[in-house]
Amino acid sequence: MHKTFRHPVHMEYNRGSMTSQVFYRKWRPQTLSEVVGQEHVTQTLRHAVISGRIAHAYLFCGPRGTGKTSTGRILAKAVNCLNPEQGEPCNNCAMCRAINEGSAPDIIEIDAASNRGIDEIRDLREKVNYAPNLARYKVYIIDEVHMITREASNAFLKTLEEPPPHAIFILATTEPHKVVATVLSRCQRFDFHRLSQSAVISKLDLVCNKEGIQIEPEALRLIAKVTTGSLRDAENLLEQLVAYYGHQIELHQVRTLLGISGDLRVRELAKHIVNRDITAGIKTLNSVSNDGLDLRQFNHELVECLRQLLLVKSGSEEVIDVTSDDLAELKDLAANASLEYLLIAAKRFGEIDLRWDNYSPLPLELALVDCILYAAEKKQPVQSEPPKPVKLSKTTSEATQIIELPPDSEAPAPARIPETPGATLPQGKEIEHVRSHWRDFVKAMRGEGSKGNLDAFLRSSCEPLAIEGNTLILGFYHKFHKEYIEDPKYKHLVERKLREVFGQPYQVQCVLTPHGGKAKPSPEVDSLLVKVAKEKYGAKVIARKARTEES
Amino acid sequence: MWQTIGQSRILALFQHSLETNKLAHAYLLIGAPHTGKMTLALDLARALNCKGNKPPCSECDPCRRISSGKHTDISIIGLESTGNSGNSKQRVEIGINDIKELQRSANLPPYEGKRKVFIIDGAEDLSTEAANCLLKILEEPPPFVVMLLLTSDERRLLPTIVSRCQRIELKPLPAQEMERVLADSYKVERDKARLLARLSHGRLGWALTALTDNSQLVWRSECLTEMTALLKAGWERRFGYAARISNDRRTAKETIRLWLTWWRDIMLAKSGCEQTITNVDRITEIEKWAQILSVPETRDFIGSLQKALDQIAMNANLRLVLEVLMLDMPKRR
Repeated sequence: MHKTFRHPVHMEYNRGSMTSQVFYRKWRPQTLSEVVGQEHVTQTLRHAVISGRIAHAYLFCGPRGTGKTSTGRILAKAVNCLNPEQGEPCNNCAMCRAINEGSAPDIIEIDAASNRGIDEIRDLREKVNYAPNLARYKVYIIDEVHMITREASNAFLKTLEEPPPHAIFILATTEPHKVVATVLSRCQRFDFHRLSQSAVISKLDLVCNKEGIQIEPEALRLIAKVTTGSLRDAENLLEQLVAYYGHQIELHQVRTLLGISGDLRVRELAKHIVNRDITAGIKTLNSVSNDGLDLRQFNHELVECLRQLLLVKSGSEEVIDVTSDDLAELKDLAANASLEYLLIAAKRFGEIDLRWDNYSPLPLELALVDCILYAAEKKQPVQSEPPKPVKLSKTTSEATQIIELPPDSEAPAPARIPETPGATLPQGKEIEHVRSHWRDFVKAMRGEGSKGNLDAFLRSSCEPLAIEGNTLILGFYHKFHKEYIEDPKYKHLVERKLREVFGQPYQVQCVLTPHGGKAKPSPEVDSLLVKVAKEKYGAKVIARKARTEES
Repeated sequence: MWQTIGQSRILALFQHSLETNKLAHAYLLIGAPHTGKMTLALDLARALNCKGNKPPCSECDPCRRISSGKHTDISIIGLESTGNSGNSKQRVEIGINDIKELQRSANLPPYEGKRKVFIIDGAEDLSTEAANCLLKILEEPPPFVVMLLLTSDERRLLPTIVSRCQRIELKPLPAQEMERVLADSYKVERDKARLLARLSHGRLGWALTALTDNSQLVWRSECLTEMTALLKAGWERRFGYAARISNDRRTAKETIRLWLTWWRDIMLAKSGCEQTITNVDRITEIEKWAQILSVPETRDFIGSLQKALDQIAMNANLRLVLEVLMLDMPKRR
């Protein structure tokens, strides 16, 4: 197996060259205590080295940039160091220096992704048996071990289980689930965790100090936040910041580099959404996209802003962390929209998928149009003040008509029904009232239920039979429908709707009732005769007797 | 002279890094196709090997050799490169052998220049094995090596690869800047520059191709004319059209994308944002149609178009998708 030739870490090599070492190589930890955020690993390893109980095989796994390879190299130094202190390598002795330079013949770092076949493993198996040249232990650091083929892994098993006493294997991988179970069980496994923000900050702080970089603490925090616990990513970002802006770094520069736009236009767009102003909304979007801001990031912030509005609207403003000025502004905005509308908007913008095309504002524009179309369609009255008519621009009068419903236009079925609350009716009339409005009620049920078809189970399969106290007795013609409605979750829906429509907290009781020859045609419909009598002669229905009940 | 146009922030970054010897060993250049990733990569390669006073000078010997693709220390690895010669089949990924060859060659010092530059064109096409194989050398290459990974789709890369590189994102040029560049540097007439700037969606490379090769524009205008005719046409003609373009997946996709821009324009025109529309040469036609079509109709059909694109990407039956699209399309006499 070929040893990977690792190019030395120290700086002389680079003198006079055009590239310098990037931060993540330059500031690789050299002792166990320098490895940040993995105390559970370093502590254990230090004790192992101090007490001389070194296992023959370790497996380091964890996400990228958490210190697996670095810890492996430190461990290799620690076990071979000529004068170790408290389990730490001294980094001064000949052995440590040789390892740091990558020139120690006994520390063998293998790129398992490039040497993944069975032949390479056979080669390794042969060479493992030779005693180390200079060092105490022959340390094999096998990186990216998840890429070893199945055959090679199996060929490796015996050696890994019982290597010669002078050999230590350190396996490192980001994807332990791809490593065969028999390899896993032969190693001491250490899981490296994503670094906490404070750990990342402390390391970055150190790097900044050593490099003479002035950086705002807020900026550091932001870097730590966006890199989600990968130190290498964080160091790379810091490096890029230095390359762009020199040694003085401020928060707004980090935001610019990350494409975070800041509050201004996000608020603006949120305002346009609330005011249902398509024209201004699209203009804002296009200016954002023209300025080359990251639309994904922008949308993210917009959703966050809508969420804040939702929270303010639902009265839980103490959860959001904003200044009092901002809060007042949010409250103003929230007052102009209904909770439902805000919910729809937050949902619609939240589900935008910008993964495929990061640069086109079209998905956002569509979401905007959707929200406003929805508002125009639903025309839910705003809670605190009368609804604003949807604002569309000057052009095309015809288009305006299509969206703009007159504010007092009739809303669809549900709102219209309760003319007289059931409570005011005398006892006997109550059932008549329910019956005569049964069809409207069924219509109002449309869209309820898990499939939105609950109304179908009520339409022509049952009739209200009687009301006893607060119990509405529904007669079903078929067992199937009865059992469906008796299911508690649907029954609950029906009861809720009953309360909305008739203003009475009815309980529903389902019974079977014969249907067919004996049942009269659905009782809630006025027959032609009755209709004519009502319309032409002003007759009123006083009582209705169901023929089924009489016979 | 940097060949890259626009992207002044990125160029400033590289210029600064070159002057202060702070160039990193690995960069990931991200950008949509035709945004100039390869131009930028070659610029960097020239700058690193240039013997002139002001790298990249484009005049010295190494610069010219790189421009003509003859420099031995610059290797470009991609689907088109001759990784496995003799195999005439179109490759679908960059295999592990290419990367092993890269490793071998990276450990040899530069032959004629100062730096070895490895450009991986289409890093998202690396096979899993190849990508993993690249990790170690990408993290700690020899000091004379610079690796440039180009990709149009960062999400298809291993996170471990991305984390080892400096991310450089090439944003599309804003329409105004593009218009200016086309008019000033390439002497394109105002109207055409305006149109190309919009149509290219900020990809200068596309606009320049369209300048030299008119067929794209001709196809576009035929396609849009056909579509407006279809709006008035009966089922027979519509299904006939669907059958005709369903022969070729790529053209069908392009067609739908093109339609999408037109319908978006309708939506914009209806909401009074005419200045942002894409198909500026057809503005009168678009305004006319904006009068005729309603907002919900437009919105719904844009939804159908997007759905059709998704379905085509998921390998649905192309003809069926197109026929459904024809059914969804609003109809006007």
